Amino acid sequence: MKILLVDDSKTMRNIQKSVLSQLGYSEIEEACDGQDALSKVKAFGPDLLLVDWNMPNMDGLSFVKAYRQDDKVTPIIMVTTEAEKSRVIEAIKAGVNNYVVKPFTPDLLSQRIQETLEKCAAA
Amino acid sequence: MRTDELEKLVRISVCADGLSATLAVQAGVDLTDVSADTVAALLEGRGIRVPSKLDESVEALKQQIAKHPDEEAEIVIARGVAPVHGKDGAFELDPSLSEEEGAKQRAECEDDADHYDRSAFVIVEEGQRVGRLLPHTEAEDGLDVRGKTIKAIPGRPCKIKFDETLRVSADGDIDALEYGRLEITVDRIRVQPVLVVSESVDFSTGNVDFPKDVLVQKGVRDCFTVQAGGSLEIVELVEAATVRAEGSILLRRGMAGRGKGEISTGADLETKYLDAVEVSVQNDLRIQRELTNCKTYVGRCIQSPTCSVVGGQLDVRFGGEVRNLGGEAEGETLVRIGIDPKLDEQAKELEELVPRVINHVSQATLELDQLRKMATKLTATQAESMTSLQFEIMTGQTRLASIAAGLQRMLEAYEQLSRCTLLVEKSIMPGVTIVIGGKAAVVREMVRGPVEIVLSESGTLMLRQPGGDSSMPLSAKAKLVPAKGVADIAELGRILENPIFKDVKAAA
Repeated sequence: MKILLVDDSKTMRNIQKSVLSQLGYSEIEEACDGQDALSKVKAFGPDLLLVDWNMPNMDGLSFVKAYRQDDKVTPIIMVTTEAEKSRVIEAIKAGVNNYVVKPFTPDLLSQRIQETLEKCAAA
Repeated sequence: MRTDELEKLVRISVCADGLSATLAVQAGVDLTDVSADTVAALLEGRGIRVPSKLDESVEALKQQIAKHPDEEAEIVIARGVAPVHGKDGAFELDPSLSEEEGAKQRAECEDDADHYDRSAFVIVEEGQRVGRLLPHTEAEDGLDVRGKTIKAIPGRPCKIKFDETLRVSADGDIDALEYGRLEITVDRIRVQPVLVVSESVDFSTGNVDFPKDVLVQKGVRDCFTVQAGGSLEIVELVEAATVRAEGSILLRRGMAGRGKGEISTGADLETKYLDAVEVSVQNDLRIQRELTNCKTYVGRCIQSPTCSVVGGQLDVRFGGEVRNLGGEAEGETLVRIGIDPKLDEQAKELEELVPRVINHVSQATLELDQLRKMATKLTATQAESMTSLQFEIMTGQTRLASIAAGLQRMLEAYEQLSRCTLLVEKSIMPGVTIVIGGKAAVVREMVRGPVEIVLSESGTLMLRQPGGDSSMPLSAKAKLVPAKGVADIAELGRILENPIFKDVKAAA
């Protein structure tokens, strides 16, 4: 399974990568903002995306909207500090499948990833 | 001039091999009116075949007489055809191997050459070209001046035999089929998988380094090195040399290392005695007589019921059997049982690692607590810091869980090693220091054997009668001292008592 991590923080990407590798996923690509991610999705063809909200150049929400124009199926998990209900709803409307609020524990992230993948597989 | 007149004036002789005839004329004889036909008739009369260019020869003779009328003249008047003998088939060593030999010889002449490293043996690898088989050649008969055939000797095929360790191709190329020493004798060439050194290893042989079994039929001199990829047997004395084998070593006499000798084996070592040698044995050590002043490590057992261990240090992983420990002179003899250097090294690494990991986890936990207390509503940076700290704590705890499991296995291994025993058949002399399972004692009073040195379950060094229940504390005959240079098992156990390991276990 191919997973794209979109976050401007290298530390956050490393944490996510570590959790994913513990879950057995090793085919991982990284992008440092929405624009970078858009330039990579076509060639990489991810099966899951973990996207931060607040990033320079292009934020996570704008990326999700742009990405969903072409791909309405591939699951996206928003990993962000934006915890307000209105923001969560805004993200879900844009096409996000699940939501993880920072700070998170590795266990929680792991749980959300599995939960999202299971739901998408069942759909 | 007629032929009969000429015959009186000249002398014709045929050389012993019949390949030439000479015509000699005494000084003052005039041959100006002698024709080639007259000479031809004279030669025919002697049974000599008349050469085609007789005219030229006669003319040359006349010129010689004219030039030096006062001297005897002589000319080769007829020639035979020499036979061409055939050449015998032969083995020609490959130039690369010849160059190797040449280089060795040149090195011998140079002042800075390492004479110890100069090897007298040609070692070949599997598939390497070792030489060429030169075919024998045909013979061609000759003719003497009388027209008689001179028989030529025909060439004979090469008589050298090549065994199954070599392949001879149709065009005569010879390749080695095995790795080993190329042995060339008058009638046989082969690759020997066992290197047999019929003399001592000294300047005549240089150091020996062979990938398979080695047999030295004499001894090994000071400062030389013998290395074998297989087993190694040395028939006579080994001096202060270096002897290594990946397989077993058998020294039929022994080794007098004078504090400089080294011996190491990847399997067993068997010998009569070892003196002042650094010894490393991967498996079992069997010595008939003495192990004196050696620094010895035995990876399995010392199986030497007739051997006295006097002076030096003996480390044995799984114990074993000896005749005597220590000597009359009360010199220091250190005997350590249940010693595993690899385990000790791992223990040392863990002892250094654990405090670092614990400190890291504690620090991260403290910072996380502080962040939690400080912030009512987290900023993005704080949220990411908290995520990062939580991740560090989790990673540290995972690491500690794995350390705890490793420590537990290590303690079990040490526990097993501390149950090893050493049986001493005859005596343990004063001055001997015995170490087992982190406990040490210096013997003050002679202990008579047979007796087993053991560590009791309660951690007391004991002397036990073999096969019986009777035992006494070693402290009755020895003074207990702190064990130095061995892993502190109690300290390792205390590491696991740190409360953080309980949290880790609970989390796991």
